[in-house]
Amino acid sequence: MSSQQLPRISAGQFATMVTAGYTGLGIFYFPRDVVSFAGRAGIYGLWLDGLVALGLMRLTFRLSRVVPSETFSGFAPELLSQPVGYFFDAFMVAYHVALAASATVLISMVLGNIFLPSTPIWAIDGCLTATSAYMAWAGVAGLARTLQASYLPLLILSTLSISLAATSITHPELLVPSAHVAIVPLLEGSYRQFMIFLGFQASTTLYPFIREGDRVKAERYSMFGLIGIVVAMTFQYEVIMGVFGPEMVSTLRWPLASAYRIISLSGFFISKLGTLLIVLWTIVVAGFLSIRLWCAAHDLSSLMRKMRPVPYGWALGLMAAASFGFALLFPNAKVADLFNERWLVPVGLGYLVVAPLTVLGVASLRRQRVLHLRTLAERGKEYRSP
Amino acid sequence: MTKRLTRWLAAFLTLATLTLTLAGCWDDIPLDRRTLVLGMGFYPGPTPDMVTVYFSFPTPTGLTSSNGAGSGGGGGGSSPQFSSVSGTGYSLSQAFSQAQAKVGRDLYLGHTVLLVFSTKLPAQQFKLLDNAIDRIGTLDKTPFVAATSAPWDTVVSVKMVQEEFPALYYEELFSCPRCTQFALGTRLWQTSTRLGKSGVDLVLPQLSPTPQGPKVDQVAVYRDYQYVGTWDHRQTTDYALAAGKSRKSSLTFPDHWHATFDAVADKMQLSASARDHQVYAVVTLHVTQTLVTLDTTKENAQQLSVLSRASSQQIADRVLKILELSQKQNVDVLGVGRQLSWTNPTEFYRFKNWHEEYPHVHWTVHCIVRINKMGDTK
Repeated sequence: MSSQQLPRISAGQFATMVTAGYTGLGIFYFPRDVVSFAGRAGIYGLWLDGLVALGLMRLTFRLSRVVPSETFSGFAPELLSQPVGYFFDAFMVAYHVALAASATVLISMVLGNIFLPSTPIWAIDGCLTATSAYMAWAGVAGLARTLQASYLPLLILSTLSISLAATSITHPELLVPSAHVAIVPLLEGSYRQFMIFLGFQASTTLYPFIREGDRVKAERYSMFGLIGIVVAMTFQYEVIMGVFGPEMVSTLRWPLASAYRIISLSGFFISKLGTLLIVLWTIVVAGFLSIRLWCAAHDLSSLMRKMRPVPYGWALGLMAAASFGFALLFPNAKVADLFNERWLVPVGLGYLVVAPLTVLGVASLRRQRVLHLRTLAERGKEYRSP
Repeated sequence: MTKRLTRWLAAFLTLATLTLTLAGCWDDIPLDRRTLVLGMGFYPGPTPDMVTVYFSFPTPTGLTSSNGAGSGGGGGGSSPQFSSVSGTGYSLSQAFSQAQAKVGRDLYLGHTVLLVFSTKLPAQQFKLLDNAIDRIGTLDKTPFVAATSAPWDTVVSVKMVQEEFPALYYEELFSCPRCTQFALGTRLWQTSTRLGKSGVDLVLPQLSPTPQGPKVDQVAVYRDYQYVGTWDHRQTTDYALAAGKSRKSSLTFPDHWHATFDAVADKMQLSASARDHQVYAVVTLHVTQTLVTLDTTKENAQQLSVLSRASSQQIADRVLKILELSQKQNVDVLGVGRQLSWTNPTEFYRFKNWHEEYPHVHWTVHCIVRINKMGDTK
């Protein structure tokens, strides 16, 4: 299959997928971590995270530009040597599955605890995984269209609904960030909160699918998306802080869920809007999971290409099953949260620094090899796409 | 053909799985098998470490009655409009299980609108209940919270002036702050922002059922989870002025042309600072009030100036008095400590125990009065 025959996505679709690929994990506890450590100065932690994520995103795009018509998992073994390349591939597959499982556990526990107390957690896990696998089934173009169609209403609905909670702000002085900043607690909170931005490495798999000539635009849109997410999170942070105050935010299990659960509209046909959260978070997490599964399936196909080619559908099913099985191992959300904090955040951050720097370093030393890989990728000789 | 069949099979299995799991059969309990609890009452149990929880709900007759309400017929009559069950245990869940065993339907807490805590509830029990209530998944954060010294039966069977379930009556009362003399309504999430937090104490409206009907004109004050006392109507008026919760109070000035003001409403701004281990709190009140009677037929600028000064002085004095009472009882009703922790955390966290500092807070009360003249409204 030549690269010209690949399913293509537009710059906007790429940016939507990249954005949807990292907002699913950190929304549950936001902004508890930064506020617990840094108090009223927590907002600086979010902005710091945003800046770090922006820098790492730029670095990741530079990695993708090394061989723009091939996925990272596709060209890594050819550029970095097979052991290192396959290590990165296997790591990516495992990391996507771990992210998917963790996000599944976190939302299942919220839904099970608040809305569906009699429903077994495995049923919610399975339902979400199956929905996400179904979304990813049609491949990148179908998934991109689905996400594009759902994210705009999602953003409008989120903004409107959180604005309703803003009417309960009783301490407007809390909206102004504190001038008292303790650096170490701020960095600690910021580190834990980085969970919100984990997952945009999906861009290394999505990059070759962008239409020719749209790649610069796609990168720009993705960065605008990141800035938009930081702005939206800032708005949510301000509302939550202004309503509850820093002491209570530190004790809330799901601060955003609590913000929705204080909304009471008399006269409206739905008087309590807490249930709206089930819709919003399900869309966000289903989008996150479907991208994880698509990426994992794709990277698995690349990994297995030389040993035993795996069709995309089978790879997707396998990854969905792995994610579901892994999710079942978590007894509760606290364990998932600890897993995120101790493993996913440090390992993800490390990968986002090490992988691009390694690739860019090796690429600068092996220029001829890079040119060769680009030519091969353009001809589609090394590439098999779902 | 085989490939096509496999695809169809995969699609069918996916759809079947989604259909079965998305249907939410596990949590699907029809309405006629549910008992919709509207109010919950928390009282001390037979031993100090036990709690008795009452669950009040409309009966099928009450739910299907034409006006959707009953008139205090909880216990008696051939077809009571509402009923209550109770459970006792060492924890909320134990009490709930015992109450659930007494009714043949699912006790559903998702529609609860009122939580009432007995003033006799020990602090330890109150703390455990606060924690347990926060973990009830179906209960959101919007029910109103109140205190009472009356037994639960009296609270829910009080004769209503309006035809209504008691819990719904109180919900309506608290939902409309401008309809009542004081905006005392406190929702569960607002209670949680005060309970167990350093630098602020809890104030709850106190429900007082009387033979004439329900009365809510007093507040119960707490130190942490410990009930400290109830402030009478006069003190509650002063507290409402101090906290910016006054909506329809009145002021009279017999020495100044027998002037009377009504619709006294205010907003409060609090600031706190600390210097040399001394905390200074500044309460700024913006009051609007309407001049309704005066023994001269028409007010003049000089009279308005005098009345403005007099009412400002009176309000400031009353506010200062109630704040000093709060210091005597050691209940930080305005949240001076919390304010200090927000604006000057370093100073606040130097105090090991805020309740040792609060009685020594130095107050300044500013009162800015805006008078709606008789001519403005007539």
